[in-house]
Amino acid sequence: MNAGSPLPPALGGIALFLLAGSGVLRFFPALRERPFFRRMAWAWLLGVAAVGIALFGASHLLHAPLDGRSAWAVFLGLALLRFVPQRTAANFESPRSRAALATRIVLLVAAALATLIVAGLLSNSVSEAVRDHDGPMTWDATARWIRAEKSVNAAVLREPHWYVSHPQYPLLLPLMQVATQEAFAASDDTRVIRPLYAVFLAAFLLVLYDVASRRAGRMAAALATLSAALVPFLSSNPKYGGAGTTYSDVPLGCFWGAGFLLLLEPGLRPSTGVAAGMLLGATVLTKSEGAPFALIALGIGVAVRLHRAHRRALPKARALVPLALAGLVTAASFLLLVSWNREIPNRFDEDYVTKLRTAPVVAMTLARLPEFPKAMWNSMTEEWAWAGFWWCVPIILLTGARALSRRAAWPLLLAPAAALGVFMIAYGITGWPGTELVRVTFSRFLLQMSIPLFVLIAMSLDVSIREMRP
Amino acid sequence: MRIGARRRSGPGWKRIAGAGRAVLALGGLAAYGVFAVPRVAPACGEAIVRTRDAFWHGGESADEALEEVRGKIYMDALKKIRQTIPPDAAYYLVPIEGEGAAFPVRFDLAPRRPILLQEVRPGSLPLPGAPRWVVLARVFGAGPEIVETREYFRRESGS
Repeated sequence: MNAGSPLPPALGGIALFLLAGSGVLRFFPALRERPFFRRMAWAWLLGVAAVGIALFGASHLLHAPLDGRSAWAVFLGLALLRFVPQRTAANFESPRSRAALATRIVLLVAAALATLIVAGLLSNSVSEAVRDHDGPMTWDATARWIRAEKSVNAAVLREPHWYVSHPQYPLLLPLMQVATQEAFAASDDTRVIRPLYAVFLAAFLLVLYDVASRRAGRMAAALATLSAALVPFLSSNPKYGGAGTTYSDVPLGCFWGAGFLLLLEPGLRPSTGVAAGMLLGATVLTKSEGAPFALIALGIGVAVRLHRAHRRALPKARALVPLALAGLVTAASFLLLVSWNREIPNRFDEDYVTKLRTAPVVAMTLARLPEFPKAMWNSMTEEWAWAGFWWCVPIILLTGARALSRRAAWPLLLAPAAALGVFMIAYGITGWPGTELVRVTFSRFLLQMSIPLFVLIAMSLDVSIREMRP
Repeated sequence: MRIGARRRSGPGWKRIAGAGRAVLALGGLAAYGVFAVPRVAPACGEAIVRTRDAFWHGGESADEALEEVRGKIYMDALKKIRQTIPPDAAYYLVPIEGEGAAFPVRFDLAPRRPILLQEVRPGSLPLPGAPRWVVLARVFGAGPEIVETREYFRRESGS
């Protein structure tokens, strides 16, 4: 192996996060019992969440150094949780009834194509340096600074005279980078960290298939997952925001989408609520918009559980226990972020928090609102990014509209709509001229919201597929 | 029974409704195909090319990989700056090509700590304890340039 090759630390980092996540899964039977590859996707998300939150808390609150020893302690400590005795043996999901030949062919083709696309992205990520804009501007640079100072309470963030863009941006993904680099004493070679982001594409596709196949048929779920893999902006572009970059939109989409869909599962167990809370806590610690998005997920989750309890005449308080646990874990992450943020003077940032307090938010947003739809549609129809995807989606959804009228679809429509409201407000009060911020960010916002949207696509396709069956 | 009632409840209506649903279903699947089918070949081709390129570039060092992105002139300039400014030192960063150029230079020099220097007032001198070096952030042309702080202030302030 070539000296200084990025491959060993990159693969080693991926393995350690998967092992840590597998350890954490011991406490979440609903996820622990899923089929292997899907289980690994949940392990990846929970592993990154758990390691990131643990290191953030240890560094900020306990002043533990961000070094190899701390990284290994957290990785191994979480991985060893796997061996904590269980009260009941794992009850792995038994294979569903054998699928029809057509379904098996579609599943095989979709899996093969998605695997090839993910393999290509991983190969690119381990052989090519970072080309994107926002990663080096914010998270990647911050990762180098906190790594050098061995602390999330780095002086370069806390002292106002240093030229740091968005110094209050949450640190989960920089910590993911630092944990890998410190565990393997790797250099600052960006080919070590890019694969960590590329793995989020695999997690995205597997989690999407997992949650979609529980709401639509396997064939429809496979087709929806394949369409996600074929969207260039998500799966292949190395510059402007997908899994080929070190932007945090795909990780945010994974954490938020997975956490939200978990909260909607029927028969939601308290332990699953905790898992959802960890994922929503990771959402809060990934990007600034993560906090309102987590609140939206929890709010809709509460409404769904109360509605279900009312329909089945069940005690409402008991029905809300998993949501309460999810809320507690998410709130703990939020408090950690606020505690850390307080010490950092904001600068070189749009500072939406101050604007929300001082600016006439409603008036400004309504004044600019008429300009948004055209700018958004222009972003959605950029051929290099979406390859016509958004021209086809309305037709798919309308022709499968029976799916959208089902009770299960309403939360999946409501959550992205509410999140869109958050973005509209940001677009309304921004200091950027005209619709420039929409042009630069809307496609990435769509990535953040995309898991629920792709599940809706699966449900609509399922209606069409069933209609075509003899 | 009224004639209209017979028409609405007869098997003909069911056939028409069924045919309508089938057309809609076909439309939905066709829309999916219109997006997905043309994307398969380019997506697979790109994946194969990327995997091949990964083997070809497999032996490159970190600097060689970065040179592929930034270019040789930039990398030669960057190496000189990295050798001059220690990793734990501070420096002034001047975004002479705008912020778009400052960000990659700042990142490539991290963990060195930058202080933004946008203008030098006439007759001003660097403060005691100021960083020793100024980096002019350029991504194009001659790449980033390093200048001693005193020299830069002398040049810019006309003193």
